[in-house]
Amino acid sequence: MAEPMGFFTDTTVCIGCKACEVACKQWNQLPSPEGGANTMSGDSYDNTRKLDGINWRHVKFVEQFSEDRVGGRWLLMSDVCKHCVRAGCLEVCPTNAIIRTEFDTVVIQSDVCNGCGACVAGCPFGVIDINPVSKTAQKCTLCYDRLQAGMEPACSKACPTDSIQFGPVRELRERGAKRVSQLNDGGESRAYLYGADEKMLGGLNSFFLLVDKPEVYGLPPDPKLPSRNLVPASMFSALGALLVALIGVFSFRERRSGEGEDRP
Amino acid sequence: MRSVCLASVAIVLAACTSPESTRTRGGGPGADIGNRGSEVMMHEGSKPFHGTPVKQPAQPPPLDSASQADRLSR
Repeated sequence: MAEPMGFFTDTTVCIGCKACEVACKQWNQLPSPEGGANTMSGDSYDNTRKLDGINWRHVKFVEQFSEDRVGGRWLLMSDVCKHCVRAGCLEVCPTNAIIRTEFDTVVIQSDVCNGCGACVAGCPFGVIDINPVSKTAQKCTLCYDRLQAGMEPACSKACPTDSIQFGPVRELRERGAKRVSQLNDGGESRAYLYGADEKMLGGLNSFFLLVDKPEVYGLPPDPKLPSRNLVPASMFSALGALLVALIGVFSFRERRSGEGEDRP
Repeated sequence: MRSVCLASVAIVLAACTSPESTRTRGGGPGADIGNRGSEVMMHEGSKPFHGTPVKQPAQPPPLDSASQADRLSR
C-alpha cells in the first residue's frame, strides 16, 4: 500500500476564486446544473450551493459582519470529500461499489453502483449525491486517475494561493501544525486543524485549518459512523421480536383457555 | 440451551461491528475487502453539456442593422 495521500486546506489563504471548482469540473467532465442556465442562489457569491454528484468541490462563502457593516470578515473555504479513514459511505454501501484505494482514499466505482443512495445518508458530511447523468452516487475521487499517473489532483494544481495543498498526510499534518502555530504567534488564536487528529473518524485524509467553529463552515463538530447505531438498533429489534413473541404466546393461551370453557 | 442462546447473541453483536470502526490510517483496504477489478471506472456519466438546450432559431436573423448600414453608406 502506498503512503496515505490527502489534502490540507488552509482556509485563511482562500480567496474564493473557485479555480478548484472549475479545474475539478473540467478534469472530471462534470455537467452544469440545469444545462448551464444561470441561476443565482442569493447566498453571497456562492451559486454552487453544495457538494453533490456534479459538484465535487464547493467554495463556501461565510460573511461575518456587524449590524452597521463597519467591521467584519469573510470566511472562505473550499469544501471536498474528506476521504475519512473510517468512512461511513464505505460502511453502508450494499453493492461494494465504494472502495479504499492504495492511496487510502475512498472512491465510488460507477459501474458497480446501483444508485440506491445509502451512502448519501451514510456520509456524516453530506458530500455524496446522485449524478443526474449516470444516476449513480458520485463524489470527489481525489483524482484517482491522476494519482495513478503520478500527477497532482486538478484542484490543488489549480489553486493560486496554495490554500489547497496535496501530499502525504503525514507531511500535511506537520505543515498544518506549523501554520497553526504561525497564526497563533501572529495573534490569530482561533486557528485550529479540523480532522487532522485521529479522534475524528480515525482522522480525515482531507483536513482543514479553520478560524471559527466547524458549524460556522457547515461542518459537523463530532461526525459519527452509521455503525454506531447497529448495536442499540439490534437490541431494540431483539426486544421487539421478544415482545411480539410474548404477545403471540399469551394470545394463544387465552384463546385455548377460552375454547376449554366453551366446551360442554 | 442457555449457553447456546448467549453464544448466538454474542455472535450477532460481534457481526454488528463494522471493519471500518477500528480501521487505522493506511490500515488496509477498508470495509469491503477485495471488491475491485484492476481498472476502476469512476467517470461514468461524464457529459459536460448534459441538459444544455440546443437552440436552433427557426427564422433567419433580422437584417435591420445591415440594411441601416447599407442606407447610411449610400
